[in-house]
Amino acid sequence: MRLDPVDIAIVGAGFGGAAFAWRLSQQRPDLRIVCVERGGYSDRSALPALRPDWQRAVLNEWATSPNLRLKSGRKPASADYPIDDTQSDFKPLMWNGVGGSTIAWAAHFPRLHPSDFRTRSLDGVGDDWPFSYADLEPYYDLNDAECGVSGLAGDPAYPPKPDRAMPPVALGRMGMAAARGFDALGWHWWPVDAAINSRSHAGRAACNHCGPCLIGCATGAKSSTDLTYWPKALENGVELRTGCVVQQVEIEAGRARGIRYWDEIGREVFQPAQIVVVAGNGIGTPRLLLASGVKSPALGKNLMFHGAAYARGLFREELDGPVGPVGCAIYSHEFYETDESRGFKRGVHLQVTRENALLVQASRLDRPWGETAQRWLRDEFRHSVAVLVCNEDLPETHNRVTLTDEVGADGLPGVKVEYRVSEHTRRALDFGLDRAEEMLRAAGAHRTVRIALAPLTGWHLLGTARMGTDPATSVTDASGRVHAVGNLMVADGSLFPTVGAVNPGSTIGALALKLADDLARRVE
Amino acid sequence: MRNAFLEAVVDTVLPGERGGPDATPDVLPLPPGSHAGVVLDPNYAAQQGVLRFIAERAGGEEAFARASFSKRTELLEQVERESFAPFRALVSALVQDYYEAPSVLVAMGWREGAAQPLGHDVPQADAGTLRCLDKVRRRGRLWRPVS
Ligand SMILES: Cc1cc2nc3c(=O)[nH]c(=O)nc-3n(C[C@H](O)[C@H](O)[C@H](O)COP(=O)(O)OP(=O)(O)OC[C@H]3O[C@@H](n4cnc5c(N)ncnc54)[C@H](O)[C@@H]3O)c2cc1C
Ligand code: SF4
Repeated sequence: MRLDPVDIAIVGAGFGGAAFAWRLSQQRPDLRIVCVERGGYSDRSALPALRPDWQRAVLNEWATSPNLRLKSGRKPASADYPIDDTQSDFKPLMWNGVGGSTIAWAAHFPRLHPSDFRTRSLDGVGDDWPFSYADLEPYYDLNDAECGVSGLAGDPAYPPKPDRAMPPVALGRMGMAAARGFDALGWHWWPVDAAINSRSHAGRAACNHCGPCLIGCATGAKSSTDLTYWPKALENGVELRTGCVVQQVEIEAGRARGIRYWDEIGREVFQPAQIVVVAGNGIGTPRLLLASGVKSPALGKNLMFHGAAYARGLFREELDGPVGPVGCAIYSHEFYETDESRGFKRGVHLQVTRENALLVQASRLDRPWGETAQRWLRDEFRHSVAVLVCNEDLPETHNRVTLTDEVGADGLPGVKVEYRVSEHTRRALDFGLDRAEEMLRAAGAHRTVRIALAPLTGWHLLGTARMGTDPATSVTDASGRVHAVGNLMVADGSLFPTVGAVNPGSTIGALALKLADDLARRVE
Repeated sequence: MRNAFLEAVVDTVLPGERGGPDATPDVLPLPPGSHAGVVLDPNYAAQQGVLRFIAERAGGEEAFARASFSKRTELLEQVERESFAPFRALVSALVQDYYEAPSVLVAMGWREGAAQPLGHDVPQADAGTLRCLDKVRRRGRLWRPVS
């Protein structure tokens, strides 16, 4: 079936796709914009948090890994495809549906630092972004306003940011205990920026600290793009087609002609478009572009997840237990900027996170059965503080996304992820773990343990269609235009040339808004 | 399969707390799995193989059921070594039932039932904690300037 042509066809209704669609439709109401998304809407009235057996949903149909969801044998609400991650130290995590991975995210909302955009010039590693923090700053501010941020202005780890729309999410006993530790050592700490309502805001309720943010937010307090950007984009006239899997961007003589997809009932549809914008995330985007025959030496390469490890402190005092929001309390950027005396360049982000649900804690133990396991849980539950150590992993071409010889049930070629933790990341994580344990002890922990590498932390899928100026080492230009195909764009986390040491959501949103403005000025 | 055998498997995987020197009146001990309502279904095909294997290693279902707790633990450790994935799948099924059981959640000092719509109370930062931020503010700019 061939449809009438549109001006813009966007693939993927996640963070990048949503922010891009809204901004472009606002700036250019004259354009006909269609977004095609493989999944559907999440039904908030049917989320597992409303059921007594919600904990097991975390391990099964609402697991963060699409592979685990598919393996669970229960029908996930996410329209998943399997990923061969056997050769990857971190397992890729995502959500496939309207809102993309923001349905499952923790909404921890830090920005990159100015230095993150200049790693090559400053430290001789990675690559510089084709623009600066200052260029992105107005879009960070706009993205903050649209997503709704709780936090506290005045953090000296960043250039000044506007007043946050809401006060910080409650720190809890756990956050206060960690603050005590950082304070005793004289280290930086600050309440996190979170895209979560600490008060009712923008027509959405306040967070009631229910706990399991990663299985969808039943109150809508957590910002996800199905609640923020999409309603406004639809109001602006953007058309969102759900349950449609894009099979190919059709390219002829160096120009994209449109997209070919399977619609909800399995019909093959061709949607001609003047410009195609792919926002399928750091795995979905290279998968589709490779399947479409896009030629670029950097396509699929330089996958970055952020190195991730945990230190956990056990306290005699009673703390909060598995309350939410999971990604919120406080963080430290004491060790964020390069200090060569540490033996590695760039830095680490220390994020104090909340406890997992009891069943999740039990299931993640090395040996989850027997007396020792139960004794450990007794000591840990409601008495622990976890610190997530995230480091800046650097772009390396052997960390990559490739196609397999198989064809998936969704019609696209199978996809494989290869990623090995580098010597650089190992050094940075070990350094960060040492500091995290030091802080926990200073806060009063009587025992600390470290999880030197946490495989189920592949939340951030970045770098696989990177921006740059040189077509030999980058896939797109600074405006997200694929070098080899001028009217084909990327607008998601794949674009990151480097990743800093912080979560990428706030930067993905800001970047997509900037690219939409670039296009709005350019397109006829 | 005999009930006594199945129950012994459950209670070896999830023995609960038997009181002991650390027990205090305000902490309820964790119940053994079978007392928390965790049952093994002998007709569940996916688990039959590993259950048979456990019985075989013990010299029969009855022998396993009659063995001491430490002997049963030893036997399960052996099964875990020799048949890791099926044994861990069995453990995972039991653990999922156990840690959602109301009596277990309550013994751990937690609330049973759904996470929503009640949510939880979480204390705001107290004045002392917020005062510590002044110290951070006083340090001035921490980010690295870029020309
Ligand atoms: C469990 C979890 C926790 C996280 N926590 C945080 C956090 O606290 N802070 C933070 O900053 N980040 C966090 N992240 C990461 C953040 O959510 C992602 O980086 C961000 O959503 C990525 O945006 P994106 O636009 O690149 O892709 P996504 O948001 O993943 O959207 C991609 C969309 O494209 C669709 N798609 C893909 N291929 C096709 C196709 N062929 N046809 C049609 N549609 C297609 C997918 O279905 C999906 O909806 C978390 C992620 C996860 C999974
Ligand atoms: S803790 Fe708050 S943000 Fe997280 S799911 Fe519950 S209500 Fe939503």
